[in-house]
Amino acid sequence: MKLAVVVQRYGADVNGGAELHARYVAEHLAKHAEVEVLTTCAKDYIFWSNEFDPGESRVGNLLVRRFPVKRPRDLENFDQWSTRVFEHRHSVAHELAWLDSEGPTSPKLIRYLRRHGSSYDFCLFFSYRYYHAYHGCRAVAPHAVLVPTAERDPAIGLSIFGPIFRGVRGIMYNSFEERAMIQAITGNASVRHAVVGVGSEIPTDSDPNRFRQKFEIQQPFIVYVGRIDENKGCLELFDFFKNYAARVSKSLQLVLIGRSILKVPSHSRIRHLGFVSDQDKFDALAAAHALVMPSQFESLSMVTLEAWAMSRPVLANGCCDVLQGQCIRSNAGLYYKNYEEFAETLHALETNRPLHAALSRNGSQYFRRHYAWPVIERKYLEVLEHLKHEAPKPMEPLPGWFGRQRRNVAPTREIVDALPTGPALKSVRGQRTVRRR
Amino acid sequence: MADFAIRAGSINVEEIMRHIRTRIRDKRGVDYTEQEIRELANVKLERILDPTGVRSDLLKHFRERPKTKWPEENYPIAGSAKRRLLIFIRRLLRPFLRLLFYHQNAINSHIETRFAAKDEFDTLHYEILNNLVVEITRLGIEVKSLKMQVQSVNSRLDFDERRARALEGLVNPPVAGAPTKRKTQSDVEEPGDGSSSPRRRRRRRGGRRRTTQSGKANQAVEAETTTAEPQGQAPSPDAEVAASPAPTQGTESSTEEATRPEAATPRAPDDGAADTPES
Repeated sequence: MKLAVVVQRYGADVNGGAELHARYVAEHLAKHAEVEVLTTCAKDYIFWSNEFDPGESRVGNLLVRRFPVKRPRDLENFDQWSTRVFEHRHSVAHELAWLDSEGPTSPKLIRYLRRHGSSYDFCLFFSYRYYHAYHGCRAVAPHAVLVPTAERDPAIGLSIFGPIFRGVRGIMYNSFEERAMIQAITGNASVRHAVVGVGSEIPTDSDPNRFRQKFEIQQPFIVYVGRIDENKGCLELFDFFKNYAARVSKSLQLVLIGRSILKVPSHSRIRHLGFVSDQDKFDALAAAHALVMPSQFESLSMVTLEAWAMSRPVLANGCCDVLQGQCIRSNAGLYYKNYEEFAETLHALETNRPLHAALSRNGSQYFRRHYAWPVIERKYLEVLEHLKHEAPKPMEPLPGWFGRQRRNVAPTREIVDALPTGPALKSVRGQRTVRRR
Repeated sequence: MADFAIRAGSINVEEIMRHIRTRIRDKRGVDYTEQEIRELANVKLERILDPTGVRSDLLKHFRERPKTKWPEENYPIAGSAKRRLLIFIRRLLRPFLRLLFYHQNAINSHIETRFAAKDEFDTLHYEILNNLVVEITRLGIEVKSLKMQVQSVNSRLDFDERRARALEGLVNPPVAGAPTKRKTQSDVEEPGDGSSSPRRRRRRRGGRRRTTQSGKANQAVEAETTTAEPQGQAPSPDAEVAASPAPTQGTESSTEEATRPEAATPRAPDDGAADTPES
């Protein structure tokens, strides 16, 4: 079997969630199939500037084909288009313009797929919302398998993605909540799919003492790993933790790991360590009392899975359906929606040892049962094997020129707001129902 | 903060979260959202309770509310035979009448008058409701304040009574041979009119005071009372325990018994009645 992994950025030092997901999947599927990676020359996800050389190269054992990005992203233009399609009544032409402005616009990559797509058994497209996935899926629809990595943001309501979700051969979802959301908005329940997620490379030699000595942290602490950004809920986390530190706990610290794009408050019990190595990250998880995940928009949260793999409980933002659903399904994490819940849950984690131990144990079991690499690989291979024996269906075409100009699409924010919310818990038992909050 | 009984392998996160939310709701009283709580906290009470906003002549305005004048009744058509004819003529002439007279202005002005009157009356209703809410809020706050004052006065009264009792015991030592100190005091304070109802001890309301400044002073006085027991009297065993250790050490000497000043007082045989509240 010959597979192509098509992703917006790729590299050993590219650390975005979907990009890392794609790299892990590519490396693990390479054990079972011939895998090539098709990507752009971009390294930076904001401007998509061409930093890698175009052409063939190798990353690890994999052949990587890079194609240049035609133009960097114009943020102002992208913002304008985003406002247009998210907040106002618009046309399909507007949505296509939005997609073009988002990038990474690489017509050469699409041209390559049109010419050579049929030489691959399947092309795995990562991140539905980018240029490469939309145009790539249309170019090689009979071979397209989509890994959407979709979050609950207005982009999922764009009408141009409906035919893509309905027209690809298969979809590998990250979570039951993601599946419920996409099926509710696009009606693609008939497309073959699996809820897979992604595993992680968990080191066996992580050492909590090494982390404590290296960073001189002796007090108990909770850790946040990821980009320190308002969109990730970090501002709210800072407020909540400062309150908690002042009123409830006398010793607990908050350790932040990751690049910061907002000002970390100067507080005696908040430590920002910046970007650290993988070894330090896993040492930190091993040393931490719990992982805190304040983001409202997550399609899976790999670091949450890594914390569970390291037998650490998670305190997650309950406003994120996926995280809440994961906590409930795994019985390995608590969640909060306001300060009172944050304080109560964190205090319970801090002081209640049996609870902490039970959550930790459940997390470890949950990771092994659902996110160990043999499980992930088997799910991918099963879906691909099924698809081999099924006839492809044609993808719905775009409307004609006049149809594309018609302003008959509702603001996508309205569409997304009208979607049912809450964790999709019944999916575990075979019945897919979405609870309304 | 929440405490959970966790048994091995029986953890249910949904159950724990339900428990946590119930606790929060119980603590908070009402399940307000964060935003609502912030809004409530930001409301200025003075603005609500501004007494200058109440109109004194509101009643007068209510009495003088404008009475709507209804237009006169339409020309009644009586009798069936005539009626049909008249209706026919009216229909026949209606286009000409419409041509000559324009009724819409009159109707519009009448409707406007009615709406204006209704608006005015609604405003008065709104105002009176607002005043009622203000008054209820004010009364609620006053009731709370009065409750606090009553509590404060109660505690002061309690303290004063105990102090007075201690001082009385100091100033009027019991007569030798009298069965109890209390009885001696009641004899002394017996009113001149001859009504000799026995004085009853007041029950403590909030338990004993332990660490307050006034409590210490009180204990000191009562300890002195304890040491000033009459020598010629045969005290009860309790009194012996209280009096014997430190007749000269004052406040600090009476470590245990200072907190139980009445233990030093010899109890009367009918002391069971002493614990009943004063009527």
